[in-house]
Amino acid sequence: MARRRSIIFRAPESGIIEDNARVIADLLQAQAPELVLLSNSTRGRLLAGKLGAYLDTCVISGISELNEETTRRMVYGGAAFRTQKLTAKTAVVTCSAGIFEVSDGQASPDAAVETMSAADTRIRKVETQAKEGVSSNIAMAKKVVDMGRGFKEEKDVEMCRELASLLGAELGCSRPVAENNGWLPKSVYIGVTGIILKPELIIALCVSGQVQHMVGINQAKKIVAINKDERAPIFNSCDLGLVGDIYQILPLLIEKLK
Amino acid sequence: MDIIACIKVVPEEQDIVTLPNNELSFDKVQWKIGQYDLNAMEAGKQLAKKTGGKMKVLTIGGDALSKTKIRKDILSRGADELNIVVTDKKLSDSLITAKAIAEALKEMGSFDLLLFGTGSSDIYSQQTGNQVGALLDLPVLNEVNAIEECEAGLKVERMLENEVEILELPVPAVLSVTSEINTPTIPGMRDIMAAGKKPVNELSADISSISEYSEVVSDLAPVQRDRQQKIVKGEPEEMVEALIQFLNS
Ligand SMILES: Cc1cc2nc3c(=O)[nH]c(=O)nc-3n(C[C@H](O)[C@H](O)[C@H](O)COP(=O)(O)OP(=O)(O)OC[C@H]3O[C@@H](n4cnc5c(N)ncnc54)[C@H](O)[C@@H]3O)c2cc1C
Repeated sequence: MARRRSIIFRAPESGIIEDNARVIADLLQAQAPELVLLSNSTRGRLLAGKLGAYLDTCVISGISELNEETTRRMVYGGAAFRTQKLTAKTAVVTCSAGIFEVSDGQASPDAAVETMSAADTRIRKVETQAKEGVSSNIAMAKKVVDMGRGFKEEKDVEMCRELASLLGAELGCSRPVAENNGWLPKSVYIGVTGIILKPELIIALCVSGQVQHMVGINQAKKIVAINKDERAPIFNSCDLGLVGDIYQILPLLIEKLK
Repeated sequence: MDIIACIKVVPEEQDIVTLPNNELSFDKVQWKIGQYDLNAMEAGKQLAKKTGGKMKVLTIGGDALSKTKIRKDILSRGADELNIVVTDKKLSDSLITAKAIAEALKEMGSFDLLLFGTGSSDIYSQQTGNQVGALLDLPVLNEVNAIEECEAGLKVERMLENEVEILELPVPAVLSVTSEINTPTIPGMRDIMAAGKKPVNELSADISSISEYSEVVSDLAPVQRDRQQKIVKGEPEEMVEALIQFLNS
């Protein structure tokens, strides 16, 4: 096995770490690895894109599977999984947290550690602000209440939260509820670009059932859907579907559960 | 500020049909502007207006771009001019697309800012903007959530997972914007009428020799789990009763 070597790059005080891409690319070029793995975070993706361009190779981002020669990732908003073969010498791949199981004993204490910093300095960091951190256990939850865009007002979040707490469930939502309405944090929206769940039960409220959302809930053991539109596609992929107005059903359900 | 928004015309997801062998059929698809590219065009339109500049749109793709309807749709969203490269080359890899864009830009003259959406709504690699920036050796950022002009050039807000970065960078620059940066306006009758009079340039960029770096082996629909599909209609009381029974079973 090749000698393990760790190099730590530091961003200069007023810069960003991604601006080290050129130096990192030069190092990689010299080593000619078959695979460069990065996290599918905002920084990871920018770094991956720059490395791919500098090394003249493809970047495959947000993979869900990595094999000897191929990767798999979702395309067309979850309508399909794409299997892709990497024909370039060095493949750059980004993957999200939770794709691989972490095993012990990978850390290598005898690795040589060097520190480098040679950033492109055109981008200047003025400041960073903390985002209001909302912690949620939704990824691990056994039961999930899934709030869709059909709700009228922000205060309806409380109804959903109450149902969730009565069921011992976590509250998640569809993308528009988090991104367009800003009613719940982005970290709890479910779907192809959000989180993908595998709970025992999901209760989808006012969710129409578009494929980008469904890929996030389809692996649930049981799906219950409440929607007033009987033609909503979610009724084709649920175990129990209630066709009716959420504002009549939900208060009654909460009352009964109490 | 002179802005070029780079956008992709994509198949309408709802028209994609899953065949019995789990392959996808695109035979009946309508083509539309990628959902997140609407945010890029809106951001470009607003910034051009604020800074007294212009916004051009660049798009590269297949036959779908030959249709007047889609061209008008793009032009009705605030672009002053539309630039198109029609190609039968499969742009299945973000680096091919990035190289094609870099080639097309040579024909379009100078700019201060290139804007991209966070990802194309079909392949969603979220890489094209990053790679164009690297190829052109310009300052490049992704997940930009606010843009304003400042003395240094541009001041932007960038969304990371747990924090927001405030950054300054000189122009020309390349930015990919989030889907939260704005709410794209729906074009009115007047915008649609005006769109017909705006210039459309078909560029001659030769991108035929750009090589591929990966090979698509298959696109297959995920296998669906069987569901009970028990549907209940009627009085709220009955439905709630059915639900409680279901939860207890
Ligand atoms: C590339 C891409 C990625 C995407 N990624 C994601 C993703 O990861 N996650 C995601 O969620 N979306 C994603 N989307 C968006 C997705 O396409 C849908 O727009 C979204 O999931 C729809 O959310 P929804 O079902 O909550 O809302 P809608 O589709 O608007 O549905 C609302 C439903 O509420 C019902 N309703 C309204 N009022 C009531 C009432 N009083 N009682 C009962 N029912 C009512 C309506 O009948 C309707 O069916 C993505 C889109 C693209 C293009």
